Amino acid sequence: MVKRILIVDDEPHMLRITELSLKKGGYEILTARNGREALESAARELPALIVMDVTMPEMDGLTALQQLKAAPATAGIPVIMLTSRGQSIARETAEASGAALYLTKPFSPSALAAEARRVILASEPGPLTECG
Amino acid sequence: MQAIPPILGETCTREIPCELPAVVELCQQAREFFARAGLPALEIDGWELALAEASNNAVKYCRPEARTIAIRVDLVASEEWMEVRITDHTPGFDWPDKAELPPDDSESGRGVFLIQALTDESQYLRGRGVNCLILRKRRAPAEAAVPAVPAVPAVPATPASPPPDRVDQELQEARHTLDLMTEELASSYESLSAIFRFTAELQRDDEAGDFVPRWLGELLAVVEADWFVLRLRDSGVETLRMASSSSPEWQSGPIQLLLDSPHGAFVEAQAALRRSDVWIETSAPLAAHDPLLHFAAGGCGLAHPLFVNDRLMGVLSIGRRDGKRPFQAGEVNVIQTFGDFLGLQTRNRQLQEAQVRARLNTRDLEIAANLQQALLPKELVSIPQASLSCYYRSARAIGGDYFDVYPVGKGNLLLVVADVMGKGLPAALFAFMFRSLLRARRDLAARPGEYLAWLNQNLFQELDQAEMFITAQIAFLDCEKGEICVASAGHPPLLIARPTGAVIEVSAGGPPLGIDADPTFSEARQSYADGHALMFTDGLMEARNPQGDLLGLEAIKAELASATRRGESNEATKSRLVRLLQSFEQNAPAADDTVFIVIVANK
Repeated sequence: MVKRILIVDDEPHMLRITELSLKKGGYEILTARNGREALESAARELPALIVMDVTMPEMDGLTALQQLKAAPATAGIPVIMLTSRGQSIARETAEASGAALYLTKPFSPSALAAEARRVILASEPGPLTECG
Repeated sequence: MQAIPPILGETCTREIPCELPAVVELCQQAREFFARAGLPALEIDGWELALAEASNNAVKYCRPEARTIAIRVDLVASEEWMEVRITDHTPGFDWPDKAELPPDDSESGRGVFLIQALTDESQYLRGRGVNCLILRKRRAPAEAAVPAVPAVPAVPATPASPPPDRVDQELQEARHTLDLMTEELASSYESLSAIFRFTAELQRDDEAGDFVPRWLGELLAVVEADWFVLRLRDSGVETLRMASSSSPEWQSGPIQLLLDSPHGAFVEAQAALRRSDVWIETSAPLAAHDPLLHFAAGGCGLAHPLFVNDRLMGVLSIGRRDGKRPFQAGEVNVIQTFGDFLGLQTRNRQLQEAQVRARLNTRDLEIAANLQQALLPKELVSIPQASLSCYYRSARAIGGDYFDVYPVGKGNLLLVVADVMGKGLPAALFAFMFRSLLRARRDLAARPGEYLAWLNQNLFQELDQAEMFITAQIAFLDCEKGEICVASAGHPPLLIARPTGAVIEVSAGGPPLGIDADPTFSEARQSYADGHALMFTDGLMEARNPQGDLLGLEAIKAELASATRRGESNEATKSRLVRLLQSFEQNAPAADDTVFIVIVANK
């Protein structure tokens, strides 16, 4: 089954860049424009990974991250937080709240795709089949 | 296992009740038949022993519910061969090609060894609830044959004039045997001719697409089945994907081969996971939602896993509709032969496709590499006001990094670095397009922001369609003013280090090309006359050491600041940055292309 990644960013350009960067890895992409939409989408779709910006209107990324980790259904979904340079407090909070990784913007498409693949693999259980 | 063709000759058929005393009587009758056929006494003894072993097994291991069914034994004598066929109703077992003599303390296995030792050929055809053991031995040459003494003298070896009812009975039996043999011969012939035809067709690429349904259509005709479903395993993934079925309009999603998934109970998954045939029958209903319910509800059939060298290729399911008889041993043999051949051909096709893909990829990369080399400037232009040094390193796969430097107007320079997202031929082609467009509008050089907007306007549709984007940075070196005017499209910043040690990041601009249909790109101006400037692609700051850490922007800034403080030349600064890169990576393979341009003002 194709794995799904939820991308959360209020800035349309960043959303598109992140989407294109990850789509090439063969993932199905879901998008949300703020933390509140992200919570709804994550609970409904249970994606394999969430890539979320910190600064967003309505509900920021750190609040959304804390709520995702507090809900049993979504607590296991790994989250990569996107921080701008100079947001060291946000980075520390993200780490404390259980983010799998933070990336500083701007990031290259290949770096994001490689990190997404690594984080998803690390979050998966081992193979279950015996098939040769 | 290869099917042995039936022989034609004098035949005797007996049906005995499923009990051991009946075997004794059978052996006596068989001795009479062998004697009549002119077999030497020693061979008759051997055949009796083999027949007794086989028949005893047929009685001992008969399924309890089948004990009321007679065990059929056919004896056939031709001029060259003797043949015995025993049809049993046991659960069946794997007949070894060559049985070894079991250890003295072993309770089983001796019978099979004995039977194989006493005969020249043996084959065990397995069906659902009914199996057939075929034993065959070449007769001794006629001159060596000594007329046998019948074990039961009461019955004459060659009756002079048998009673008419006996003749009728034997004639009937002979006809029945002939029918069976003709049927099997026809099946074998159909199988063989279909295999030959299929193999010939595989050479013709234009018909490769529909060979599977035609091939399996032939199988339906040969074994008189009503439906088939072929699923193939997705390479590298534990799923069985629909490949073909007898109802082309029927759609079915992939089946997951996970022990504990809901799909695990489906017949096709069971056959793949157990690595053995799974029978479909009315007495064992299919699991709820099993896709085969569409064909097999109330009917019969089997799912046969296709293995090649222990690698699961897929599962072939085939069956008959409600109310029809289950497949017999010979038919199962044909289905297995067809299926195994199909598995082998599928594997061959996969290997051929992989070879072609590898060749195409190599060619693709060669073309991309040639394109990329053709894009890069052959030599750097120089101007009196500034000295430049460039570094370019291609990663293991061809990427889309690009740089260019060319003179504009009165001693000014235009410098460009760009990075097309992705690798291979598509990235190289976009880099080529980018360069062609760039060179078409040199008149925009002094206005980098406008230049980028124009480039985006001309590339957006193609990039958007290909779901790619390009980050780029254009710097106009205004030698008259000693200024550098920069605009970026989602690119890492341009760095300018001052003699004081301060490093400025110049990152004015807009989004990458191909993201927005109509963006604006701001510009920034800085003096370059008293420091060192650096343009680069993300391969530099995202270089990784063996532990996976990134080099990062701060390390680059620190190195550039040192070079500026020391007043190093452009070449010395380039060497310094290359050393930084190499010492950090410690020979770890580069994941991305790396480009940088050092600009040092001439004093």
